[in-house]
Amino acid sequence: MRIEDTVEEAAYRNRVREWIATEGRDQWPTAAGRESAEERHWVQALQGAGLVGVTWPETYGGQGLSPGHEAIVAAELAEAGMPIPTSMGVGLNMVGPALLVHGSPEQQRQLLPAILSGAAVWCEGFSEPDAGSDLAAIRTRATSQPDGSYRVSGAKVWCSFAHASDWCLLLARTGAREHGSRAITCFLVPMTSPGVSVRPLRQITGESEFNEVFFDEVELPSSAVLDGPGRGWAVAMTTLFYERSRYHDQLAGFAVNLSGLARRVAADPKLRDDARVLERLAGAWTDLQIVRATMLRLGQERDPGGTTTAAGLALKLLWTGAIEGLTSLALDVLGPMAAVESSDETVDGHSWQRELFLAQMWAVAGGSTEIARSVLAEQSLGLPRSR
Amino acid sequence: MDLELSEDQRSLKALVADFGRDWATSSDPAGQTSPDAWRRLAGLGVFELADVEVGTGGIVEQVIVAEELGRVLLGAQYAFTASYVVPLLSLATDGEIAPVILGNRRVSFAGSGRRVVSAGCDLSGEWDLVPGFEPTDAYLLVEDVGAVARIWLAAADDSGVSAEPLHDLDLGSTTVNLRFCQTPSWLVAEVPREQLVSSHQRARLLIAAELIGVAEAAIRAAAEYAKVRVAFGKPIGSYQGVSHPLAGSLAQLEGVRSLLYLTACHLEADTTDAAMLSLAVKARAGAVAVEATGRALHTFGGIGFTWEHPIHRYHRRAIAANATAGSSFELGHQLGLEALACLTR
Repeated sequence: MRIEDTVEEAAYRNRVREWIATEGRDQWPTAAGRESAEERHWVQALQGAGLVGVTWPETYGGQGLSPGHEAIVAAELAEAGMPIPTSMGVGLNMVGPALLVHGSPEQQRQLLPAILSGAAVWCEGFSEPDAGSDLAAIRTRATSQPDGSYRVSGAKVWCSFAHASDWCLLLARTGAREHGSRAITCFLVPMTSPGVSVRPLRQITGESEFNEVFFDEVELPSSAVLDGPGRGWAVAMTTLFYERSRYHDQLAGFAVNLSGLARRVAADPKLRDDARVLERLAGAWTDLQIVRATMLRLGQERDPGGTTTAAGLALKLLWTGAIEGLTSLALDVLGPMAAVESSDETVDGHSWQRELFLAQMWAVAGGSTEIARSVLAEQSLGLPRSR
Repeated sequence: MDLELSEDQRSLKALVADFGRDWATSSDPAGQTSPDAWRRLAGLGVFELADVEVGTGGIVEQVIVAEELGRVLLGAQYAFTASYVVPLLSLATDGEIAPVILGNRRVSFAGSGRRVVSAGCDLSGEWDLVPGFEPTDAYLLVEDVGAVARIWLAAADDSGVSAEPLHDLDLGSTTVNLRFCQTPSWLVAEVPREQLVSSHQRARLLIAAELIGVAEAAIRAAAEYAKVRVAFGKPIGSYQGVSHPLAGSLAQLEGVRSLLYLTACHLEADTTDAAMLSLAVKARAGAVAVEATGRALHTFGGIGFTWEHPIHRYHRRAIAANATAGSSFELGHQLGLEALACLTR
């Protein structure tokens, strides 16, 4: 247990910092002109510096380094306010790691380098209009054809960045509904396949990052199956494990926002002398340390094959609680201004209201708070299934 | 950077856990730690960890010990002995420390009091709410003289000592109001008052560790009960109204445990963040443990608030430990002021 870097880690951190301060600064897309092409370019720049795929094998364009090195990169990029764009994060932080666990060597060779170079943007096709928390109830069906290929039909929803994606990690039913999660298969689907259509959804924040994706008799070769027929549930669990274990960028934003809020409180005598405000500010500061420390504790825990520990399952709940606490304090502190959206209060010049809406999103994303509690009750306390 | 336990730390955890299980099955249900049990605990070497003369650091190890003792409600005296008694007595030049480390001498720490004055080797003063041993062999006391803290040691059986026992909420604790009237005492050391700050920080950290142990044991006991207690034809643990509060508390406890390890590392490395972190970890551990033990007690239904079942002892201990060395209510406010200053610097 140590909070200091080893000599080697310290040298690595310095190299990362130096790149961020010089070349990184030059290549970072400015906030005004940010769009998909620029985000891809940023990932390409990061790859040039060896700052994506830090733990991935060198054969696929990775660096073959330890999770500790990866944590250093994530922390430094987040600290500099120059993170991996969320749209690229699906491929780099969720799909890529899942491919490394579940993919065949051919699939890994074909797909991983394009994720690292920013050439391929990925989305997830998991939830459906009638299957969210109960993911095993999905109805999208992949029917196998006599030649071994599949035909896929169905509708997916809450697919982040599907409108900008090249590929979709799709869960479809390949067996009877009664077989539940054992009859689900995962497919690697090019978004350009005939029969795939995308409809953007406007979110509460006003942005359109979410989409509905429709599959109408989409033809897929047998090589599109990831980790074999009926293995889709395992792939989904791996992907969700990674989705729930990384909050570096969010935490860096949280820290900036917390300082901004503290300045507002300090400037107003009525607020800074209010014991309730001070106590909640202390709570938010503590939450920040707790989520940071829990990610640090989980740093070495990268094998989703085993049972996830209680701390791993708790992380999502802790993060959600932290962001809810901070944003609700901010809205209370704003007083009458809470009814009006104004910019430049928080990181990237967004409004506090947007941050509050995002907090509500976090309580559902990657498995709802209630599902996380149920899983924790079953896996860590050994309680009977509630459903 | 990592917050993993080393192999040695894991064996220490297992060693203390074994001791705790053994103690829990053989102990007096009234909950006081007997001199014999204390000697056996000391026999594990747990107080050598706190002796600055023996080795530096050891804070992570102390946290592990405190958490494991908390699980069997044996943590009450450990934190004070490890944070104050051992480090302060080890400043003495002669052999006062040896019997403490061996567990043969049980010293209660009284801290700073009111109207404390010394004349030669005679000490007078009033110390309220002193947490201690029953029986206790000696008291360790602080006399504040300007920027200096004089550390005094006095035998508990001296006729000049009056210790009025209070009615403790926690059955394993003995709190007294202490009165000294020209009591013969021995001056252990004179130290700058700031030197006590690190002991205060360590005490908060170790009581936080104990609280985590107490609360997790209570939550796990409640979960075991929820597996076997049937209502409406099913074990009550299958109802989310029962399981979710327990799971929620477990998640909170895991979070505080992460903070505990982080804070231990910062105290060991003596960083500038250590002060705020030690406030944060005690404040949060207290609040989370009181809530968790309350939820655990509630899970047992009617029997939970009777003496037929020991779960009430966990709730009592959590409330008492939260109130000791700064409650979540007090420390939360203090941390708020410090966070405001730190974030706007």
